[in-house]
Amino acid sequence: MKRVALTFLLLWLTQQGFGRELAEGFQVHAFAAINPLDTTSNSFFGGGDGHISTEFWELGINGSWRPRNDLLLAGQLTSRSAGGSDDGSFRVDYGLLDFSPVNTPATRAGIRLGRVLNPLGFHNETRDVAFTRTSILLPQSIYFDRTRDLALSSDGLQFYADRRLGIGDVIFQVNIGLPRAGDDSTERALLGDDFPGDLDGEPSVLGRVILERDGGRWRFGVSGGSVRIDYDPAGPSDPLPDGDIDFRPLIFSAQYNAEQFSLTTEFGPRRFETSGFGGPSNSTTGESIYVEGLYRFSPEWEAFLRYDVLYSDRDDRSGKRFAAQDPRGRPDHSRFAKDLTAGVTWRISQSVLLRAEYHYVDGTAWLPLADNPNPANTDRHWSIFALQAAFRY
Amino acid sequence: MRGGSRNSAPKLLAACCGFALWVSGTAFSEHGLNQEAVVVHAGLGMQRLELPTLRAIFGMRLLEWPDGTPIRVFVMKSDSELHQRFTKSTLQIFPYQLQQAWDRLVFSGTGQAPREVQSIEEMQRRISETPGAIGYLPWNRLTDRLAAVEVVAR
Repeated sequence: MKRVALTFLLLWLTQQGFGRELAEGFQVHAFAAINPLDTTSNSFFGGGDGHISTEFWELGINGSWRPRNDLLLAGQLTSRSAGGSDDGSFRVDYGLLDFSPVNTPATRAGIRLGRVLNPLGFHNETRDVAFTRTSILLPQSIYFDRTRDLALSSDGLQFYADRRLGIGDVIFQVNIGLPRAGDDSTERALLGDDFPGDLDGEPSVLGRVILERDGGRWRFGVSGGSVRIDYDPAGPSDPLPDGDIDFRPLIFSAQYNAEQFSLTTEFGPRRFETSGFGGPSNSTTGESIYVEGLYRFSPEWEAFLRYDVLYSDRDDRSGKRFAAQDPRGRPDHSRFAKDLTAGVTWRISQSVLLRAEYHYVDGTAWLPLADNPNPANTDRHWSIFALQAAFRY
Repeated sequence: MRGGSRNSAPKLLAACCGFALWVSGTAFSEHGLNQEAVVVHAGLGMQRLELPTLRAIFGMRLLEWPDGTPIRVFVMKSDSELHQRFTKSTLQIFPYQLQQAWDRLVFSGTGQAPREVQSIEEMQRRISETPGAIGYLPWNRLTDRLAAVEVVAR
C-alpha cells in the first residue's frame, strides 16, 4: 500500500515546479527518492547476497507559514526505510517556531523553539534530500546513517545569528536540547546490541559557525558539541547495568565552488566517552575525513569522486588491539572503513534527477549492525552499487 | 608528447584571454550594463542596492526593506535562460548555488523559497501588483509601473 502511494506521489511530483505557495506566506515542499542497491558481500540497507534491495527509500513533506516577518512556523514529516536500520515509519524530523526580532540588512538574529535540526557539518540538516547531496549515500564516516535520528535533530531551542560582514556572511547557530536517542538502530550503533532497557537523551549542546565568502564561492565551517545519553536498564535482570555516554563530535568543513567544479572536504575528530555499564570509564577518539571533487559537464550532468575514511579509534587504526581483547569476537576490520566512491548524476529537470554510484569499501566500521547481526561474519573488502531516482517539489 | 608541451603556450594564452574577458565582463555588469534589470515595485522608492544585500534578498535571508515592508521575491524557473543569466551576471554567483541555498532553507524549516512565475508577463504583473516585490526582467520589458534598481558593489 505504501509503495503504491509512493509511486503515485512520485508521478505527481514530476509534473510540479519547486513547491507551492498555497496561501500568502504558506508554502508546501516535498521530496522523495527510491534507491535500489546491491552489494558484493555484507548486507547494507537490505541489499546484498546478489539480490537488489528496494528497501532504501526516502520521503518527506514539509510546510512553513510566515504570518509575520519575524515569525515562522515550520514542520516536516519524513518516512525513511533503510533495510534493518530504518522501517519506513513516519516521524516528525522537525517542528519549530522561529522568532527573529533582529532583521536588518547587516544582521538577522533570533531563536527557534521545538524540534530543531542539529547544525553539524555541511549536510546534516538536509541529509535525506537527494537534491542537496552530491551522492546517493552521504560520506558515512561523518554522516553515519546508522544513528540518523540521533544526529538529525533534538528537542529544545536554537539561537541563531546571520551577520553580513566585509569578509563575508557569518552564520552562527547553537542548539540546546535533548537528543532523539530512543530507537533500536541508535542503541545497536552505540551499545553494540539491542538491550532490554532504553536510551534517554540528556541536555546536550551542538553549535556551528559557517563563513561564506564571495556569495558562497568559499565556504568554511566549524561545528561541534557534546551529546549526552543515559542508559536506563529494564530492571535487575537486564544484562547491561546503567551507564552514561558523552559523544563529542567536532567537524571542520571547507568547500570551493566554481562554475564547473566543487571541491569539498570535512574532517572530524570525535570523542566517545562511556562511564558506568558495570565497568571502568572508557574514552576513545575516532577520526573521520573525506575529500570530494565534483565536476559539472553541463547544468544537467555531473560526476564525482570521493575518498572517505573512518577510524573508530585513532590510537588503534588497524583495529588489531580491539580485536585481540573484544569479548564478543568482533573483527579488526569493524574498526575502520575506507570508502572510494565514484558516481554520476543526471539532473533531468528542476524536480527530477537520476543517479548511479559505486563504492569500494575496505572495512565495516559504519556497516549497519541491524543488517549484519553477527559482526564476525562480515567481509573486510566489499562494494556497493546503487541507483537513485529522486523528486523534489 | 613533445608536441603537447609545445602546444601549452597557446593554451595558456587562450586561458589568459578568457580570464581577461571574464574580468571585463564582471566589470561591465557592475556598471549595470548587463542584459537584465533588477526590478522592484514602484511604490518602494528604492534606487540602488549593494550586491551583498541583493544576494541576501535573492538568497531569501533578508526579509524586509529598511521601511519594514516585507520583501517578496519573484523568480523564473531556475532552468530558464533569464534566471541563469541574471544569477551569473547580476548576482555573480552560479545558479546551482542559489538553488542549494533555497534547498537548505526550505528543507530545514529555517526559511521559505521565492515565488516562481511562469513567464515574463507574469513577472511584470506580479511585481507591479505586489508591495515590496523584487524580481528581474530584460531591460526592454520594463513598464512605467515598475522601477529598475541600480546594483552597486559595496
